[in-house]
Amino acid sequence: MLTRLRKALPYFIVLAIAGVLFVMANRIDFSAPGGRIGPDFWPKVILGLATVTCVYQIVKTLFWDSDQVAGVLESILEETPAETAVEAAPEPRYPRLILAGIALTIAYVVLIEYVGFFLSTFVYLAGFAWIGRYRRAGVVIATALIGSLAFMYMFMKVVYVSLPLGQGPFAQVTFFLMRVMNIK
Amino acid sequence: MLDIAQSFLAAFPTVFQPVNLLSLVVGLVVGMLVAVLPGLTLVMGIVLALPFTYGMGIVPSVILLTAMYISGTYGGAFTAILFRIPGEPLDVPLLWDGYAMAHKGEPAKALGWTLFAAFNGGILSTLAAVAMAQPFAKFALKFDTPEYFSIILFGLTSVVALSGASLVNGFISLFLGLLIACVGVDSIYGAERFTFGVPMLMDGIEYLTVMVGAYGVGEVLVRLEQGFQTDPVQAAGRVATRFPTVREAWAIRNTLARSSILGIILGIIPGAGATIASFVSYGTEAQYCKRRKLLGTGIAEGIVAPQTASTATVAGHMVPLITLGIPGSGATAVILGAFLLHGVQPGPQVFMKDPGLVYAIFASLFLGVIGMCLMGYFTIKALIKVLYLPEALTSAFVIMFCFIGAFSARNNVTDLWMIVVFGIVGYLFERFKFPIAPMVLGCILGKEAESAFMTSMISYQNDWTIFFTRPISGVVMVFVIIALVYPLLRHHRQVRAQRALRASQGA
Repeated sequence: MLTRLRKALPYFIVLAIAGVLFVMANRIDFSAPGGRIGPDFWPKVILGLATVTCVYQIVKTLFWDSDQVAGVLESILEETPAETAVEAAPEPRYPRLILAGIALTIAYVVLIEYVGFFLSTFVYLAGFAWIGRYRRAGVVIATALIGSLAFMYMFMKVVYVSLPLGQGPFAQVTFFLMRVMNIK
Repeated sequence: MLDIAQSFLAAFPTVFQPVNLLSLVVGLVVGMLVAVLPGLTLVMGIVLALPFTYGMGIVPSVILLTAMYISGTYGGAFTAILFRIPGEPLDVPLLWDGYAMAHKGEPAKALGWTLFAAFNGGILSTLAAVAMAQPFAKFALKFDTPEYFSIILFGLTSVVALSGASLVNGFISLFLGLLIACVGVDSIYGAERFTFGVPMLMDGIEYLTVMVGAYGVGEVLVRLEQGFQTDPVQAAGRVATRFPTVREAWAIRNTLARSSILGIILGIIPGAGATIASFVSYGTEAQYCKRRKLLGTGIAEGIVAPQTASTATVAGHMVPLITLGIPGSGATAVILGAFLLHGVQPGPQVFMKDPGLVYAIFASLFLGVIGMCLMGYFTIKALIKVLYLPEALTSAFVIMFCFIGAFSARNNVTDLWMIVVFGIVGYLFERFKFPIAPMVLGCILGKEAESAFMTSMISYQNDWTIFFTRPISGVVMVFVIIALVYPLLRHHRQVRAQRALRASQGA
């Protein structure tokens, strides 16, 4: 039963979110002329359908079988001759890498306005490659440096995107690089 | 038909304009590189290229993305045949006969068959798409809002119903996309929906951030969790392409015809993309090909069928996209995004108002097929060198392209947060086997679906039966019901068959 509950967990989560959003949809403020359906109708229909789908899958998983109904072509593919199928080896998982990768990505978004595009991008490129288990320090640093400078030049000078400059001393670094690269 | 041929031929000079030709060549090269790199999917590559089209005109933008799309269906064949590394999921069937033929000492011949298949599939499907597009668009001019709603509904349901390992997960993904499209101020009443008091959400959530986050960052995070492990590349030996003789080519004419038709049909139907076409075409050969018993041992039919079908889907996909504004896959959803970013809503009106644009796209597809084959023939040796790039480094750059792409749309750091959020959503979707494409399509088509539904309700005094009683809409709604019910019936039939088999084995 525990395995079945675990399989049903994502649908419980979606069901809970749908419930919360349905309550929010009830509070949508509008005034519709008499008899017309309002702007809450469409989202409520979608949330209703999502609820029905989740309840179906939860009941099916807990009390019937946990097999998923596949798409038509997917099920045709499953019926292709067995000798043609390629056995895929189970892929290894590294949960720490994914947590570190997400943390670094969030840190990048938090810091980019304070540290500026160049410095934060340099640290991000080097850090991500390192987290991705690439350990040739010289290559990592050189690639991150060239990459962040190239991005800065391409987007600020060629495509005219105003990338974050940073604040305080970090902004001075950006201004210096902009002078060197003749970016106005 | 003559006027269609004239319009098609007249569009070629447009493609030969320098900026359009440059877009075509760049698109072909980048598409091929993306397809060769195992960590980078074709859709991800097209998504990453989208921000570069902001400053371009609509014609070069669409040419760039479609060129990437078509060459992406071919580039991965090299690594599948030479190194047993499928660059894209659609290249997996090439492992069975393509790699087997190469392993038997005929890699040049295997590559020659691939080139032959991609060329024929691409050219035949482009010509078929050109012939079909105008009648399609003329027919679509008869549509009113109920027809539009039912067509969009059919597009969305068939994406879920046709492919995907789980129908339920597909629908949940679709509902999420439709809800994302609801965020912001609604267009009819001006009411705020699901903005959570965040001012930026008043404008809604940009589908670009959803696409870039889910396809770009999400896929990189999935690969990161797997430790960026790619099978080591073996030495390829002498890499060359040897064309089949006319006699050899004539011998597999039935395979070519079957897989071209399958590719075009599966391309037109929303949801059945190049990967499905590639597998289904191989499966069809396993049933109908004269030498079916030899499939998997390295025969030409096993290479030609999947490659022809997957390349043929591209032109097929362009028909509903251009004539109805319905994208049938992740890649065409991005191309629709390019149209919308330039203020052009694809549909029958575009076809009637600006046929030059439509035929230029088809002409670029035609030239793109020729260009990609030339490129495949002459530059294959240089292209496969990208396999030696460390995936950790290329992935860091992919995320950076995602960030800058999203940032450059509105110059707003909040969009970066959106990218992170949808990147994590994309990762969780992959992790728990929820398909991403329905969410993206729901997000793009949600507003249009709601608008068509609401306008129909207002015009027909809330009479929902209008979707069933109008002839065209009614027929499409029947297809919607079939798309919903058929997979369930099929599943229950399979379960019953399995139970009967188990019971007979037990007895």
